[in-house]
Amino acid sequence: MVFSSLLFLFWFLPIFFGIYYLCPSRFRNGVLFLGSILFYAWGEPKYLILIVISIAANYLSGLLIHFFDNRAGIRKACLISILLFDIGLLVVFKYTDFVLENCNRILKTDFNATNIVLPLGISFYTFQIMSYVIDLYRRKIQVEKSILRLGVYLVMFPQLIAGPIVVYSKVAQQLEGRKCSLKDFEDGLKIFILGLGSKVLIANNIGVLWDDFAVIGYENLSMPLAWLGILAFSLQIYFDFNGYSLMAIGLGKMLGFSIPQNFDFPYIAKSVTEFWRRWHMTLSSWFKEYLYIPLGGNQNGKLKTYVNLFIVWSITGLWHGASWNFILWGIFFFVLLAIERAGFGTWLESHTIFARAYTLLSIGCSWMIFALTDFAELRTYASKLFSFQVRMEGINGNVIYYYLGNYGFVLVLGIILSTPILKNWYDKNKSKVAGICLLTFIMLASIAYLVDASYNPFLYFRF
Amino acid sequence: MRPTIHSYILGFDREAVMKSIRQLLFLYICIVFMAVMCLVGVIKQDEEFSIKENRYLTSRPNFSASGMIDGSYMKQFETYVNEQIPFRSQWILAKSLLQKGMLRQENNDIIAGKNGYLFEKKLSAGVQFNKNMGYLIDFVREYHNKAESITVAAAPNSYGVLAQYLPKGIPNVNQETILNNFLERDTYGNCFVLDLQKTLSKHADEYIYYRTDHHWTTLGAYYAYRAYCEENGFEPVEISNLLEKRIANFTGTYYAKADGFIREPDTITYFEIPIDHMYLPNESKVDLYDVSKASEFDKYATFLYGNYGMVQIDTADGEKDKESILIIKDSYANCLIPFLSYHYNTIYVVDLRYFAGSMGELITDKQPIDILIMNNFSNLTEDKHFYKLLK
Repeated sequence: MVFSSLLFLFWFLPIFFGIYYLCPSRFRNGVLFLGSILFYAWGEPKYLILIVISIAANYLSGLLIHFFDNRAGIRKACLISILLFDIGLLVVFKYTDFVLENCNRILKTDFNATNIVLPLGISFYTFQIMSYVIDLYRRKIQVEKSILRLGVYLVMFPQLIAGPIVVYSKVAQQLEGRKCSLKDFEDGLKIFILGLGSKVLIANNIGVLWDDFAVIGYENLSMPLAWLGILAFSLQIYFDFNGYSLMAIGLGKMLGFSIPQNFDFPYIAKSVTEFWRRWHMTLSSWFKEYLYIPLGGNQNGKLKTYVNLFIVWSITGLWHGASWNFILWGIFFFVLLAIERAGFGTWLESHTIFARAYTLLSIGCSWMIFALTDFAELRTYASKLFSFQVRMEGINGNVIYYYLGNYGFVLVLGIILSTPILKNWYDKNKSKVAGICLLTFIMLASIAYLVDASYNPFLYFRF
Repeated sequence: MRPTIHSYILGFDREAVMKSIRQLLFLYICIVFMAVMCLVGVIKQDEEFSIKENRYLTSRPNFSASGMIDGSYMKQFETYVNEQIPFRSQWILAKSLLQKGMLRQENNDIIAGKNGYLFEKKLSAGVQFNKNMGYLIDFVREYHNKAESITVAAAPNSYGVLAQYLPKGIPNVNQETILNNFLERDTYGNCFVLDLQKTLSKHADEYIYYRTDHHWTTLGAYYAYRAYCEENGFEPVEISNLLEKRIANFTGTYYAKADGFIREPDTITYFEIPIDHMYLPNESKVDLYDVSKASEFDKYATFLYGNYGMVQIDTADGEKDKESILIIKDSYANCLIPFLSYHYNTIYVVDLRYFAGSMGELITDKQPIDILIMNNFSNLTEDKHFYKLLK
């Protein structure tokens, strides 16, 4: 199930929250667990077993690590085996075909693709559960003795499918007992609606432009259109992902959880380094905490630092998808971050305008690498960005007017909302009439768009 | 605070309640909204058929364990929720208005042009088009010596002709170039390609396309008919000599899709043309038009009673140019075929989408003198039934 669906909004949400709050608080973890399982299984019942196995295995390892508290060797063995298990599941279900394909290419072997369907949310929940066992090993947290609580931590529906990545230590207390006043509940609801609008009204609408370009064919794009496409994709992915994160945070709040912020106006960053402190913050901090620092971070000399950065960013890229373009995307960031670390970053601080332009251009280009999994397409698109060809060949040369006219409004809205300009106004007004009218409008408008998605005249087209 | 009169009579403190509502206004709005939606959802009957969409809607699925395990129950349930949401048509209308509010010229892949014209969005011809052209070329190669003439006529869709009503910079593909690239090659002595683009462009300022529907008007079809006559050396019938009938207030498929985006209803014109008999698969008729459709949503289905796999028309007695013709067509031809009854004794009409027989057998069996293949551009790019040409 996804949040931005009528099924979720009109069935799951009212029924679930009705039961959740009618139950005495000692049953709420149970309700949340069952509700989340239903939420997950709705789309993909067969992978439920995977998540259950994952909970059981990590729970047992947690107990073992705790039990052998003074046997360093066994603790370590437990940690290593469970990490291998967790990462193993992720690798098998996410990267098998990618590995086989490259194996075929390099070693001239002849494996058939397995066509394993990626289990929903596996990239996210694997990282979450790893945070639990690693922190337990590091003695940062207490062992979780209740398998239900650990289960709730892993499957709770707000962040199960697309994050934010909540580390166990952040929510351990709330798993035991949490409070949610009506005011908190309403605040959560407001955040949820903002996220819904962000996804449905902005991301989905801008997304049409990007999809159109794929149909028109990248080879047919003029230079202005190619840049417009980059702008559109940059906004789409931000409002999509941030929208989903906001919905998760809002729902979390409605349950009494405080799920960490995931985005902080990333596009106002003045360097790529800063961008990554504002973009998908829970992922970057996870990698820092559980990969970069364990590798030694920046403590072992310059060369080792750069090597570590390279490893972290290649894996960050690969985490986003089983394809070379994502690895390239990660390495692209490694290069920029390395240059900034080497001194360019300090120079940027004193050249604000240049810094902003450089940052936005770099991020825009990175999205091109991110969006185009096929290298031939990537080459075509990149060449169109610098073709210096203002009009399109083949079809009507003024296409840019059409797209600016049709998407100008939503693009400008997207640009404005990517900055904190309206944030102060909203914070001041969110409980006043103006703010409530706005939120109600966003809610109704989003629902109208969702309902329309099911409107399919011409299923038997051209009767 | 002093208790108000309400607190004595109704047992609650009005001030306190009002204060709580003010503080949690949005929460109350949501709760009331949800309650209304759920209540109406429970009370209202499922809508079985959607006229505008021309399809059946999903009703509540029956629960089954197997459906639960393979996920089909969930999928169907979600479709059910989406299609039976209370106030569905109002939501859809609201979305259409929101699109306008966002200064969009398009809704659900329909583009609003000038003077009330709606156009379809067509960004690429796609793979299917090349396949279909391949079938067409093979068909002509296979049958060109079995008929006196084969004519291929691709009807352009309105956006390709009515340039003056298009919004600036519309990103649609150029039908003319795409069609010319294919249709000019591979000609045999008795095979013609009707350049309807050229024919219709000459009349672009006339009412040759519906504003709200994907079809051409009977007038547009009439000009195409004249072009066909010219190609074959027939004397075309003059419409001024025919009895004209009208169906007003027609809103077609483009309108249905863009829903509420723009509304300038069309008028359908048809001409009384007597025939002997028209044989539909299971019944025979004595005229060409289904006048009962005039009062329904799908008014275009008046022409030839809609689309059937194979229809035979025995035209009225009189001097004809040729014995018979086989027309392989989509719905565009439905309003053109009546005119052809002045030139052929028998007209065989095949719609590949519903045709279940063998084309080879049909041609051997009926031995048509002429063959006309008439489809609109959009159908040529999307229809997946052209393979039947070679069956």
